[in-house]
Amino acid sequence: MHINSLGALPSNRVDSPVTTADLRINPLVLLVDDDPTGQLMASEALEAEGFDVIEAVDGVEAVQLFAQHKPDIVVMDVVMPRMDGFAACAQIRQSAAGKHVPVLMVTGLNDIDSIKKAYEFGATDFVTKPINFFTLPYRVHYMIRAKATADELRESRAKLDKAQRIAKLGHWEWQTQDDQCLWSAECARILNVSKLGNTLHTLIECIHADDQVMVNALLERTKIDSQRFSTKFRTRTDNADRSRIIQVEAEPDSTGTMVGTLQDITERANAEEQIHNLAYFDLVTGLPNRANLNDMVDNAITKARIGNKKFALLFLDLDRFKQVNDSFGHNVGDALLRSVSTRLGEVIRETDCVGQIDDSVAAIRPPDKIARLGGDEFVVLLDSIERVEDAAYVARRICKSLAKTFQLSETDVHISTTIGISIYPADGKTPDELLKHADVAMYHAKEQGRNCYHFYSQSIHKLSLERFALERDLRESLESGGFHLEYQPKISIRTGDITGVEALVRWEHPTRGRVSPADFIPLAEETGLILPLGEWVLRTACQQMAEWIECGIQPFVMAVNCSSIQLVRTDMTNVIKSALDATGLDPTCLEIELTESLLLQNVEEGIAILQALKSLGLHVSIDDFGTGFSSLSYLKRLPVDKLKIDQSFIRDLNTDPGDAAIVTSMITLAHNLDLTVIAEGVENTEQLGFLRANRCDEIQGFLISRPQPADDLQQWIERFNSQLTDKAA
Amino acid sequence: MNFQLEQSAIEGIRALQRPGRPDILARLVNLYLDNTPVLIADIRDGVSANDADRVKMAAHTLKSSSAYLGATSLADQCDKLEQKAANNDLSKAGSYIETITTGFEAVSDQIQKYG
Repeated sequence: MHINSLGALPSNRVDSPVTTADLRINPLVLLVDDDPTGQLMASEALEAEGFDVIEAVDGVEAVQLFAQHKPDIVVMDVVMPRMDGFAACAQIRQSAAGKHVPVLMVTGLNDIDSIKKAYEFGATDFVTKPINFFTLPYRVHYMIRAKATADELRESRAKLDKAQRIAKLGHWEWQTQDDQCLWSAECARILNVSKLGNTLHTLIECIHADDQVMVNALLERTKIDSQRFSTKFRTRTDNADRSRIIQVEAEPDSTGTMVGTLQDITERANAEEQIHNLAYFDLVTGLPNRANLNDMVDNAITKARIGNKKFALLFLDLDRFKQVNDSFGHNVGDALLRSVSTRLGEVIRETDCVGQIDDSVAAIRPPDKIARLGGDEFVVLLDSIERVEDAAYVARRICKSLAKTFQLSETDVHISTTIGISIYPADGKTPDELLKHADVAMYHAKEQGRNCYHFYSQSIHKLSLERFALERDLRESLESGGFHLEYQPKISIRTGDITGVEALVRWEHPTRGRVSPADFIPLAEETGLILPLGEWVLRTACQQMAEWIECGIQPFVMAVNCSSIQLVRTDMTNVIKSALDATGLDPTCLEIELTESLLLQNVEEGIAILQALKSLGLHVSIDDFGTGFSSLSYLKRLPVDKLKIDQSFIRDLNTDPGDAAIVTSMITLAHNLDLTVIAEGVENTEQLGFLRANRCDEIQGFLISRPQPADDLQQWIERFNSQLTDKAA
Repeated sequence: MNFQLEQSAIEGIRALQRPGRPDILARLVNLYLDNTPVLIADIRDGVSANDADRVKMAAHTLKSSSAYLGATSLADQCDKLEQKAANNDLSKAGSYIETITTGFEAVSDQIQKYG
């Protein structure tokens, strides 16, 4: 027996765990055989080749010597007293040092059962008796070398596993042809599952539902093109906060197998987000900061340029903020800034749809609109405004909202706000310009003291003030009953009978006087006030007609105009139905006049709307006919009763042969389509003569009567009917 | 029965001899001569005690060492006894013991000169 003994350990190696195995120069073989003859020959043969040998005569001694010396290899006979080779091998394997040590079992020649059993008990290899002692040392050498290689591999794999665990990085392989996947241990940990399957589906299952489609599409493409890819996804989880962000990358190897990595980059992504937040958001309010605002405005400019739209920048300055800070301290000041940002958000949300006819536009607007520049300065970005008054409207709402008491924990605070407004593209084409000009406008507003907002451009400022005042008056009049209706009769040319009246809305304002519908109807349409106004007109007209019938007047048709806004934004059929129900008016006594342009916007929708209206039993006519360039092919598909020739064709009927030809054609056309035709704006007998000669059915205009208030018209009707009776008599 | 030693086995053992080391053949022969009577006694005791395991184990060891020294016939006899003992059959053990004892004496005569 020759075991190295190196004496005292060098002091510098005391700290590190050193095993006897580390200190050996020659590899150590544990020979286990109860036959001393075989033992002697084997040890001679092994020692001759540079091995050190220790010997055991049975399994019990083998286990004991193994634990004591941790040899590099065990060569062990099977049949031994006390404990046989199988049991000894199994015991050695259970110890930490014996887990991977090579064990060469010596079995009887052709003893297949023993060979099989040896492997089951953990033997590395076997050799049959009689042992060839000349080749034995080479065999042992080889096994020790193989073990060293396996150790290195294990160690390398352990290091890789550890490195992967530290880096939260796993590696994987994917054979796209048959969809077979291999995953390193870390992959399952990263994806937070106990085990991953062997197809790619197992990965898809771990992905957040919102990201699945994207990743799936990428992988499907990879199946076809086997190209390098890199993407990120969130993991599926019951709790959204716990979702991890995973980066997955893969590239094809020489055989076409995709080899890749999975990495948990949640911390990195969070850190990046935090850095981004620090760089782009205000710490006190959490609002975007100046740097962020520049990007926001830049984006708004790009969007507005492409869509040919305008937008507004509102530059806010809190009027007495410095005093608040000085009197109550920075904590109160900061709390106030936070409250201001909350209120601004509320106002922006409430007024989000201002000026927006199409709600879908509001729905896709980006959420970031408010920024804090520092100090007491805020900026509100109003993108895609339709009218500059919308900016004024929001500015007024902001001033109103911020003027309300702020109840902070320490104290109540009152402030006021001054706002400067710049409009893209009128007031600037770059973020800098727009901001500077909004700032200038703000100072201007401060100088003017009481005004809470001011536009950068004077003309816009004036215009907005005027339109705003008009809008305000319109609202007030709507609430206070400042509107009334006038009625203009329509006459049958053939019989001279009154066939109907057209209800026309009139606005008599206490200070403005009579305002022309041409001035306030477009504004009512832009602001949506046309909806309550139109409904009021409809009800009032129906009510009036019902009253006249009640009074015993010969029934005729009450015509009411309907704006396109009403048709698009409300269920007009229901509105009309409830007006009829409320007033008890027979639907055959009601006519709805629609402009031709409305029907042209969307033919199929127009037809559907007309059919719905017709189903109520009322009359439908096309107003302003001839101005909208209707296609004749679709005109015949419209379920209407009447065409009204626009007054622009009637005016010069007797002097302009072109107009005369058009009017004649329109009458013929209407009759061919089996429609009644009426001419409006008839002012003299020459026009009447022409229309009569060309078989126009009805006329409307000053020649018959101006529009008149209800009472006047009632008297007029009575007079007109009695004249008619006289004539007939 | 012929218990002639196979000379090739002796040559094989000699080939393991390293310069400057004790004579390996002599050590083996001495080991064999010392151990074998003990093993045969073991077999005999095992048979008397009807302990098939003990018989099997001793026969196995003797088989193995005899084979290494080239005593093939003796090893064969040991093998047969081992097989029987493994099957718990000691019925003809007495006769095997006789043969093995005779065989060992024959082998001893042949290897004594190496010891």
